[in-house]
Amino acid sequence: MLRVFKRLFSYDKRFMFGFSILTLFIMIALISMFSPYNMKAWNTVPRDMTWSWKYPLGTNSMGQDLFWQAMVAIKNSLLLGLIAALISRIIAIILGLLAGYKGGLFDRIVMTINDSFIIIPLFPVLILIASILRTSLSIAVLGIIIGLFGWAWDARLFRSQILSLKEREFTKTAVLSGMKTYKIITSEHLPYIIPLIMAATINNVIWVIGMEVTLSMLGLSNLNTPTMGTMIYWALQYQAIFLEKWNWILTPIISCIVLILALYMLSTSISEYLDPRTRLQMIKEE
Amino acid sequence: MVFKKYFIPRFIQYLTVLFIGITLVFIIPRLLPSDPVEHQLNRMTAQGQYLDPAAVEEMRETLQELYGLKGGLFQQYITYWKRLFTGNLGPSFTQFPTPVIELIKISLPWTLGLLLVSLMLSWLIGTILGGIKVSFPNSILTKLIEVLAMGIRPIPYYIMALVLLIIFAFIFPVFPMAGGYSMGAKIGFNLNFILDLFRHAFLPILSMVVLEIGGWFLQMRNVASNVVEEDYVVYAEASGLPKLKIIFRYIMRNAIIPQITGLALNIGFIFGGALITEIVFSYPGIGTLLYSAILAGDYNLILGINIFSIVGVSTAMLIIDLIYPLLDPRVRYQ
Amino acid sequence: MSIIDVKELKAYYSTEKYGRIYRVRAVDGVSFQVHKNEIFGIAGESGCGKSTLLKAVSGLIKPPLEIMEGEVVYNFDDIRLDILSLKEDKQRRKVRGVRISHVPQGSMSVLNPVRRIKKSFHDIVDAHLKIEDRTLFDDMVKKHLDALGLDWSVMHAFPHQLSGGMRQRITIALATILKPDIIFADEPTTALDVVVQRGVVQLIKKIKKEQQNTLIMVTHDLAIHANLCDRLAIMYAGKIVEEADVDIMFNQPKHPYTLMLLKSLPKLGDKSNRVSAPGAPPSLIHVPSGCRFHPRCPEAMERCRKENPELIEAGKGHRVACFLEEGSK
Repeated sequence: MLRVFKRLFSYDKRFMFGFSILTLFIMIALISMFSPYNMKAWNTVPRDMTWSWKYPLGTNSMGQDLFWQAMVAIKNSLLLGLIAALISRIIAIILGLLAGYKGGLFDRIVMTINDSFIIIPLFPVLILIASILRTSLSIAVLGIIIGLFGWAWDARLFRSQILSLKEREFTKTAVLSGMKTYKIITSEHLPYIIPLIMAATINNVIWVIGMEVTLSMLGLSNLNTPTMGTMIYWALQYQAIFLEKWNWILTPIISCIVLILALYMLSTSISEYLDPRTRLQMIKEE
Repeated sequence: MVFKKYFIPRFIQYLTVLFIGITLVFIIPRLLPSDPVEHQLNRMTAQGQYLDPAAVEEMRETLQELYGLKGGLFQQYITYWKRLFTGNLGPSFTQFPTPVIELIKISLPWTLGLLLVSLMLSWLIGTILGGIKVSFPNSILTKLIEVLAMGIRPIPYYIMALVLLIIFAFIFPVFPMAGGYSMGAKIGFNLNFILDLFRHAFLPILSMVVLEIGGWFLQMRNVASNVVEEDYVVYAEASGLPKLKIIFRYIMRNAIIPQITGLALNIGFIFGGALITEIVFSYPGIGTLLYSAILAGDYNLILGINIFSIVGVSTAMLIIDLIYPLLDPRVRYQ
Repeated sequence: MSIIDVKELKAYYSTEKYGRIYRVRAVDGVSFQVHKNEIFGIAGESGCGKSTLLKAVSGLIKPPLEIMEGEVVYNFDDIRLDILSLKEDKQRRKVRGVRISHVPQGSMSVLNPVRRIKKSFHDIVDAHLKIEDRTLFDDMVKKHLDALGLDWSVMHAFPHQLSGGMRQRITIALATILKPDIIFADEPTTALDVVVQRGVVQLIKKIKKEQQNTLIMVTHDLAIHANLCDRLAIMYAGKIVEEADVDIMFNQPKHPYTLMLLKSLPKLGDKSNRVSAPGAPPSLIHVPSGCRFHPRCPEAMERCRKENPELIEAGKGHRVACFLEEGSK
């Protein structure tokens, strides 16, 4: 594993870039816990100030320090992404693996439900839920809800991977030689699936962050908790564009774009690494 | 005859998805702790007026009736379906008594226009570029496009729309910031109005096209690179067929088939994106309608738009599925 | 008179990923000649490089395949072509289909699935001849099909509507419609059942008689070689280890590998156990030192581990690459 990581890091610029930025963001998230200001309160500092040494990114019209707010927002957004991704991973893995291994009628039923979730435009549905729950939406709850809807695509992905693995030679050999099913799964199949899960998870996190930002910008989440989405919401509410308060509106936008790009680069470099054509050559070598 | 083998399962799937989706939309609000009727009443009483309790009671009943919340769960379900079959999505609360379906009808053309134009542009251009990239893999131009596409693709719709809005409607005020057409413009088939429409539609369409082109490009590239390694392409080259012919008749013609499947799968996502883009630009489509419903707490409207979206997207998928046999003779003839 | 002359051909697959370079030495120093009008066979186990050899000799060179060294020359009556130095698009294209034609492996899927057979014929003919009159074209094709025993009705079909054997015949028809001088066939009978195989073999024989082309056939099926070919070369791990007329090859094989291959063939009436060559073919990335066959060779000597034997004459038109042969001189 470590060898693979080192190889990816040194030769694939995207991986290097993506991973470094992600580490940076995680560090920011950790540091943000030491924020000197309470981000749920307003007017903790003077309003509408621009960059200065005391307030590195200035402050917003509600009297909050932007620098620390951005850090807390990043932490919250990452946290939310993680929760949602975790939940949707669990559902996707369970459903995908079960459907793939059991096959038959069970498979068909699960896949039909799954396809419905793919087809149904999730945006209006999420809005429906969010608009009803509006005020009680903490980070965790929002994360759970988004997670409950984001599993469909990946479940299908895992299932098709399982299906193709089932048909492979080495699986048949293992079955014929009497290996227990769960042992086959853990020792033979997992090495293929785990990297796939990682790449899919990263993609999922991207989608979740995008969803959260979108929902928050519409005012549909707990607006007192700073996340990248809520920061933009408040900035828009206070006409930050018209008043040209660039530090306020651009901070969340740029950090969001950078985070998403970094994650995306990670995920593409991992999935290119997983591409069966390149992978096979590596296996031959080893 | 063959069509039956293909169409009937698809149609059944269509109905199933509709059923599941609509039931979902039915269940979700009822699972959540808030009661929209109480919510509504609270909003009204919160405005500080004194309301006669008897009147409030009557209002509650009426609201329950209107929202379909009367009676037990099963009873509600039946009423729900009954109403749907008559196309009755209930009245909008904020624009009482205009039925929800009417409001949707007014906003629909704008959304459809935005969707269709941006989808056609991005799909066509993306697919063609993807095909070119595979046929001329070493061209610098295509490599550049590849990098750009990959960089832009994961950006959420809202952010892209917002960025474009800031840059092109504010910093360099080339395009109008909001709306479908200028206020007070003379509606009709005159050149001015049409130009006006264009100006207003440009940024929303641009926003969607820029985001989606990358996706189609990448997908086509992947699909086509698989096709290029197929035996019939190798054989065509070995037989000395002209390169252009191979590109169009052999590679792209075959790659288009899974590309269309990809289109069908992504429609739900793109539709959501269209709604989001509309909201940013205040473009008078279903997206903005949805947004105003959220602001006003118009529960019925939100519900109605949901149902409509599900039906609309599923039907679009079905239509694409129906086109499929036209392209793939393996399905058309057994 | 040799129509194809291959000298010291080396063709590798090279890929670079994450800083590592992988080189598959599929064809590692191959030289041979093909005479006009003969059927020349190339045999060997899977993964010995024979398909690559065919691709390289017929000029189908696409990355990651790379020609490292060597020369391939065609000697037609009127012109001498150095295949490898031809410019890809214009010149190679003119030669393909008309003077040389290629029947690739897996003829099952060689036909474009979204095009009717007739159109596929159109494509090939139009690429090289300008036939304005469609009826002339139809006649030409019909005559050809008749000669091959194919019915005109297949023209309107899509490939998936036809059986495997039928598709194979159509592929052969396509490959020969322009009466090429040289035909390269890569596993033309693999994946067909025995009855159809026979039909295809007869077809190939018939065409060759009529059109007098030179045929180079690659397959691992020695029975086909015995049935069709005039001369045969055995490949192992990227090199030719023995080359001879078919009769001599089957009756007086000299290389240990050839002996093993022949021993594993079933013979009618012989019920004794078949012995196959022990071990597996070596990886073409990490090639064994010295003679490539030595890890599996029952006659391996000390010398075999260190040096690589060259092809030497062992009779009329018979070449072997083995130290045993050298020793007996």
